[in-house]
Amino acid sequence: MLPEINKSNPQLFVFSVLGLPELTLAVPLFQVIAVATLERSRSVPFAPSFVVGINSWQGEVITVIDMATALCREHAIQSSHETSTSYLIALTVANQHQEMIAWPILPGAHTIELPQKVPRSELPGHISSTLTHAAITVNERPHILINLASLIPAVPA
Amino acid sequence: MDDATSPQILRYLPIELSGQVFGIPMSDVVAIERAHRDSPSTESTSSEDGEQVGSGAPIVDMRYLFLGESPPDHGRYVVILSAPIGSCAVLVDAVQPTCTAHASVRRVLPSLLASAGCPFGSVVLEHDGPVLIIDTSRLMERMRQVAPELIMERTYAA
Repeated sequence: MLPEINKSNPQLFVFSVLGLPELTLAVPLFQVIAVATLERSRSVPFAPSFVVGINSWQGEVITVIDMATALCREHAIQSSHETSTSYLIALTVANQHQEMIAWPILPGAHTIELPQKVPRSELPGHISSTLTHAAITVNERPHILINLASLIPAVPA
Repeated sequence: MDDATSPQILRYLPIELSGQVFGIPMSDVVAIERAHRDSPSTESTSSEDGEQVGSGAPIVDMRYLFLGESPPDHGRYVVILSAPIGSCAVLVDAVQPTCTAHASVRRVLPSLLASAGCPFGSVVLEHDGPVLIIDTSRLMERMRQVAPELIMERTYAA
């Protein structure tokens, strides 16, 4: 099911990431806080494999992830972050709790408006469906819509 | 109540592991000793209340536990920790002077990490970057999962 972005905010933030440069990924624009440079992240022992570490931005803690590894959990990709200086900082809400998550993105990120009708496209076989809302076709290109909330497992109250 | 004992203030011991700094709440630290170079051991270490601690206790190499790295051959310290679930001794590269962190710079551990069982309780935003504060009980639970004998059931007054 597509998220309700068509009604509340028809814009998407479109980007690509190291490790999966051939894919066009997208998140709803309202989830994007900033694109910024970050200092080197601090590693977090025992964190999931897709977590690069923690960082801080404007007085808040950010969990920095490797989006390519998160999307391909069964095909862990060792993305180098040396060549990427821009991080997409996004807000997600899970378990009634807001959290900031960031990941490095490649140059060329931009915003698009969703057309009235959005045809579905096939999700690539190596992409985890649990971290995606859907694959859609915009401007004749497949876009994979990321579901950030699914990164955070349900935590008992 | 003065600032140092206010619940709003966290006093923590910064420990270094391969250049990265983590924090241990001082309320959980019983003693700090320099490790012997050849064979790290707590031997008989006196805590603040004069109790003999750590004699023959297994020591957990935090550098290996946290980072999977082999230890350096210099500058190692043993920190004796105590929590309601037990006590343990951990080996670290170095210790720094204790720090205090006000509530304004403390943040909860992101739930993405908490739900993964990471043994940290909070994050302190220091000027040179975030510092993960170890949750001693969670750390011991982690150790217990690896090797139950690492945790001594006896507890020591801090």
